[in-house]
Amino acid sequence: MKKLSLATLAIAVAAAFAAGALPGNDNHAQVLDQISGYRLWTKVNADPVKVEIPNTGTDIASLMA
Amino acid sequence: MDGLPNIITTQPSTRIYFPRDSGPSRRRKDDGKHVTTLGFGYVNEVGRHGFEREPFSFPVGTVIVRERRWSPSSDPDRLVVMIKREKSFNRKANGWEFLTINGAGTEILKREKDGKCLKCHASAAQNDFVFPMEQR
Repeated sequence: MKKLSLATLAIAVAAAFAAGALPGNDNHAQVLDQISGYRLWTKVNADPVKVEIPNTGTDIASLMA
Repeated sequence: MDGLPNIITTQPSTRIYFPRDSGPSRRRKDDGKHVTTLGFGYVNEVGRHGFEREPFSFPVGTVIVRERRWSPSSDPDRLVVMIKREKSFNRKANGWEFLTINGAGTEILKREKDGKCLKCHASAAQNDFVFPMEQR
């Protein structure tokens, strides 16, 4: 009986994740949709701000994350 | 071949020399320890008022997008995004989720609650983990 309950719970959690129902687990498409059109939003800074990233010799993109 | 001083052709190979002040090397600061990019930031309607006074405070649903560009006229090659969720989502960062998205906004490259993103943004914890204008 206990095993059955755990299995049911696992399935329910997996389904919730798949549906993006749990906070913070929005599927990627939902997030991308959320930011589409961001250039119409309020600009935080009128001019571009210089952002300096430590140069560790590794992939720059990974440093931005 | 006077017009092409950077191209040297000797059998059997051709060498092309690029000027030192062009190309990727311009991205690097003189000290060699940092890479300089340009940031253009945007905030959605939900979070707009969060920037009005310091210390900043942003409501759930705030989305901040910062473009990464190598020059003012270039297209962004990355979007760095912060999404404010319920505090319970990420207690260490007051609910923020950090994402890296490709420049076209079509692919999520990374999403995280801590790691390098939080390590840096933690220094702005008093401003709800968002850097003031001059540091952004």
